[in-house]
Amino acid sequence: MKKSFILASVVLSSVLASTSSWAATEEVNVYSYRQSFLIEPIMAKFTEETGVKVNIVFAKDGLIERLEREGKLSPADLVLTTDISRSVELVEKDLVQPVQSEALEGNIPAQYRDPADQWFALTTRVRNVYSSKERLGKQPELNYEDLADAKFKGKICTRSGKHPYNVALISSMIAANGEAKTKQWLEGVKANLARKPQGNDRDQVKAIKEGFCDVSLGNNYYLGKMLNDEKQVAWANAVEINFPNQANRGTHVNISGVSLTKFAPNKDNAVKLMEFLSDDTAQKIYAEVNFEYPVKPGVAVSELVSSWGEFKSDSIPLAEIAKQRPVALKLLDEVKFDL
Amino acid sequence: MYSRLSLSWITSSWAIGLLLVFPVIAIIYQGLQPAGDLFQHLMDTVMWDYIRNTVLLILGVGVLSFAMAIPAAWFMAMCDIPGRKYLQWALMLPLAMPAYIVAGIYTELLDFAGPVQSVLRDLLGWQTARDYWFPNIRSLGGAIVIIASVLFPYLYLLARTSFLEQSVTLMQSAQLLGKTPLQAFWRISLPLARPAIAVGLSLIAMETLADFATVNFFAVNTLTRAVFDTWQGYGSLHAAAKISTLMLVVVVLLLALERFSRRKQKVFQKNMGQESARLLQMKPWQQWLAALFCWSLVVLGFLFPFSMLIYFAAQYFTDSWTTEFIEFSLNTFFIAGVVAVLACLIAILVGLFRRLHVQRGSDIPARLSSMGYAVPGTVLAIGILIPFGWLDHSLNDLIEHFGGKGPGLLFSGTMLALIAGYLVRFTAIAVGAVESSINKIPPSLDMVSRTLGHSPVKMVRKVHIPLISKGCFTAILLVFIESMKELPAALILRPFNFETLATYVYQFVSDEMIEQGALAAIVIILVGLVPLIILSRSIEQH
Amino acid sequence: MSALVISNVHCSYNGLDILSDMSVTLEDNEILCLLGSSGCGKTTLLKAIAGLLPLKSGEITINGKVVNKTGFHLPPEQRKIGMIFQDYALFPHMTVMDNVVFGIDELPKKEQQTRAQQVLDLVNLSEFSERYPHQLSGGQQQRVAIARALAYQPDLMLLDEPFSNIDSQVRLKLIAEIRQILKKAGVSAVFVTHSKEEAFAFADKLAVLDQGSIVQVGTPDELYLRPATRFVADFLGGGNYLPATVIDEHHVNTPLGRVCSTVAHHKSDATSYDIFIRPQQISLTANDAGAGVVSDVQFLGASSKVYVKLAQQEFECQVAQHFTTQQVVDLAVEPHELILFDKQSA
Repeated sequence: MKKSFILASVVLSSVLASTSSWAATEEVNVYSYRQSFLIEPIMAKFTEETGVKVNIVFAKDGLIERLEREGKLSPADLVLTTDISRSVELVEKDLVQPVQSEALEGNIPAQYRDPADQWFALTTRVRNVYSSKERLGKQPELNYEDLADAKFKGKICTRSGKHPYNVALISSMIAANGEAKTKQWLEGVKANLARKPQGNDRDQVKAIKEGFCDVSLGNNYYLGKMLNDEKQVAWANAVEINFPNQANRGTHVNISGVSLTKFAPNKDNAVKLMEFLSDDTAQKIYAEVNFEYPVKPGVAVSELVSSWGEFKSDSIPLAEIAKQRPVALKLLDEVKFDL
Repeated sequence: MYSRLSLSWITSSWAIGLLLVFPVIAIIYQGLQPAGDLFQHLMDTVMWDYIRNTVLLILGVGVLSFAMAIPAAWFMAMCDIPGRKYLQWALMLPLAMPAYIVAGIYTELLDFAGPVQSVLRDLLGWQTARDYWFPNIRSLGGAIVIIASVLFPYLYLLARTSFLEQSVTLMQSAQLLGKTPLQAFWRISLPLARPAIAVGLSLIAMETLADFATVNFFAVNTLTRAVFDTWQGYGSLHAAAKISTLMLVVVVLLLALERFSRRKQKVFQKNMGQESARLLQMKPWQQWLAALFCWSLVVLGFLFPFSMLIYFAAQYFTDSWTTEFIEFSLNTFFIAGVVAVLACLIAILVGLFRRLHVQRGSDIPARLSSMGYAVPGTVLAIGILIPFGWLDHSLNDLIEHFGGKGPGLLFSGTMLALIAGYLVRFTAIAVGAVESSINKIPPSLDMVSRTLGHSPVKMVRKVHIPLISKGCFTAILLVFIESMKELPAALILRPFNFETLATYVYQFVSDEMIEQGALAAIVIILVGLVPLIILSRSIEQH
Repeated sequence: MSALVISNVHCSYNGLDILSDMSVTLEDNEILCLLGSSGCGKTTLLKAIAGLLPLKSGEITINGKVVNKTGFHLPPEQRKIGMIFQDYALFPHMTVMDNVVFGIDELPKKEQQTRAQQVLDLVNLSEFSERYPHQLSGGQQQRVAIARALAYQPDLMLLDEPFSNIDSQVRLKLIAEIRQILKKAGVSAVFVTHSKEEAFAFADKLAVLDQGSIVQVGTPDELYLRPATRFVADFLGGGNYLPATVIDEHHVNTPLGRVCSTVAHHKSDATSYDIFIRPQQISLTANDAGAGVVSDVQFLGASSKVYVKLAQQEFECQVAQHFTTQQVVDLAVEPHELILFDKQSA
């Protein structure tokens, strides 16, 4: 048995050695809710300019829980989120710290950062309604509220109601119309669904092209991405992009954000990266490559995005919307939106 | 026979057993904590739907697997159908296919834009989805078909063995007493195989319960998703652990069913001599029909999806053959290898402990170390993170208390967490394989070596280890393959910048870009085929 | 009408001939025993009768009904045959009663009950009807198997080595019991064994098989007293071969002196044969001037087996008196019906 114990300890120590902690080289560790291939070109630029290596863990779910569990031992310096509710959750769970940086304050307008400087938006993204070019055409008058209207019976497609993008939209509805009305609205939308919520935002556009439904919810940048994808361009060409609630409170806008973790081990490098992300080079890549709206004033949106026109965005503060998140989740369960 | 074992052996057996069961205890403990209104809210709203979907999924998969596996097993055991020699092992091949990969491929095929519907539209002049009805594969029914088509071989294998072990004379008796082969099947073969069938079905039910990727991809809301959603969406580990505990109850029930059936099997299986002339006479058209049935199962669960993967891999080879791909493959092989070797060592330790330390309760370490097998990967990951996080914090606090610099997340942030997760889940397989080969060593050998003056340790080295080396090899192999395939635990537990082939493929599947993950999928499947080949060899030799 | 007629049956398995040109007839209410060493094809023949194996050629008729002929094979479930397997083949998941009514479950419930009761009475197992097979002894299990077959009222009963799993202590008693049951039920039966003791005790008619063919058919005593070949002679109990020259119709000359036959042997004078002498036909007398020396003695109870060496040959004798090794004896052959075989070509 002795031999096997020796063998076991050799194996164990080699495992430890191969994963041993983040060595002393210049680096910064990022927990990212964003697909890594979206941000890799930006990070590569950052490393090129500063020599600081960027390690990314991408996960669609569970990063906040992981951060919480790791506590002060966490290797993470930054968290990249894809919507406001995650950013607010980080603050609520006391997992992040404020950053005082002139560069950040200069680059990001006040409405796009936490008053307490615990989160910063890097881009904004619009929750659009896509409509079938062929069967509905452009819908300039449309409100989100109309999606519960019986005229859309069996014509709506969406991804899971529990997806953060939808939760944020529903939260904004609660903030605007109250809980009871929103529940009614959700029931109405559910009754209008052409199929059970499934897939991602692109799948819904595809479903419109294929005739399963006429309207779908989707973020703006997906249309840009699809138009630049050989296979998906046909889907994108089947839909019109609409900015709802233009006659009243405006279209719901979400953010992608960044926060510095409470126990960030590489704080200096992390702040450097935050500043880099909010600066021209990175903002431009966000706009050009990913078809998002850059937060930094003066950085132009891509040509395609600007061709969709100006629009009015919802004026309710993001922090207010994020507060309604638990209510939104509760309502989704109550109406069994996904089931 | 009683042997005095060194204290270190006794303690390490118990310690390992307890360590491996700790995650399960952690979940139950966590699940018993009050979770506030959230759990009540879930019970009031969606929980019953989750439960209903889970039950329907398990029942559906069970019934469909039964309909697939039992006829196939009976044909293989009793009849001389064309291509029997190849079918015998070809029917096991679907086991090598991860369900979510098959799901991805059939979605590609049967979706609106897929070739099947396109051809139908071209032929019949339909335009859009509104012009006709076509079953939606992304549904509960689709999930049932996909999962059953890769899990049915469990039942097939067990049922076939059971049919083969049944004394031929029973069937002949029934026939001579005026029953047709079909009547004899219903009245004799099937009831006698009931214990084996129950074992097979409970295995399938447990695998189905644990599935995360397929139901997620198909938007079927089962309890695995409920755990995930509750944890992620509501951020409540307590409520998630409560649901996990609920799942553990189901698992315990299934395990009890399995154990109970195995016990009954012993009474029933009174095998009296094999005979070669067991083949049932069938008319040629019946034989061809039976062969067609069996081959269609092979095509559905393996041949078709696998050839699609090869086609995709060939098309996208340059896109797929990247340094990333090689790195992830090496990662996967490394981690699966480490887990396999460790699991085997643990199995030897607790297995021999049970054999040599004949005392009440000496089998408990082996039983404990096997408990994790039934725990779905998602649930298990939570169970690993709870104690590992605590360990990390305590260790760092301790070191810092003495003025040192803590080592950081030594346990929960490194490959250790992943290895531990795999070990908890897969040690049971190694224990099973090693134990059965230990049991094959006649006790008289122990007595002979002891009377010839060998100490227990020397006896183990010179007699037991050489005799169980084959069992150990099987154990290592099986654990290796399972570790390669495991997905949900890896998704949650993997460290920074770390992908396994399974997480890599899943990412492509969930983004409906399976073409680009095909190469990695093929690697997983090919490695998964190795034990099947070995298994079928040993069956043929039998 | 004969219960069973087998004519010119050929049977092959995997291209190998297992049975070649077998013919045998069984009369009503008769018990036929197929005797032979393992691999001689006796079980194959039994299965061919049952329809569990296909024939290559030949014809089988049961109770006047043709069940096998060229191009025709009646499936086993239509042959009305009761078969007792070596392992009894009781259905382990059914009680004794369920086993017994298995073959007659299409009859009305009432009739099933009466018939089951009848056969269980016949085999003395009435009080065990609710037990499961694994709760019975080997002998009881076997009687259940017989009851199950009898309840089915078969035209023919087939028994495949039925006593090989029974303790030798009770085997002969059981054989007598079952023979009686079969006779009482009036069923013809074919029975397979490799043990001559069982065959003698059980059968009315004996067929000795060797390498896929029937060597000799007849009553047990016929075969014992007048074996047609050395194989049959050896198989039904060993003995001593020695050269013999015919003197006349009733006498031959052997190394043990002149041997007298009780019936005429119809062999031509002055020709040489091998005579086959069973151990009990040699008598020994203690005689210091004798020609033989006792080399070994096996005590059997009522008699002893004595091996005597005489002129390079060892003789096996079975006698009532007691002898010791190294004792010098005289050998003599009692008069009996002589068994003479042609000289074996070297």
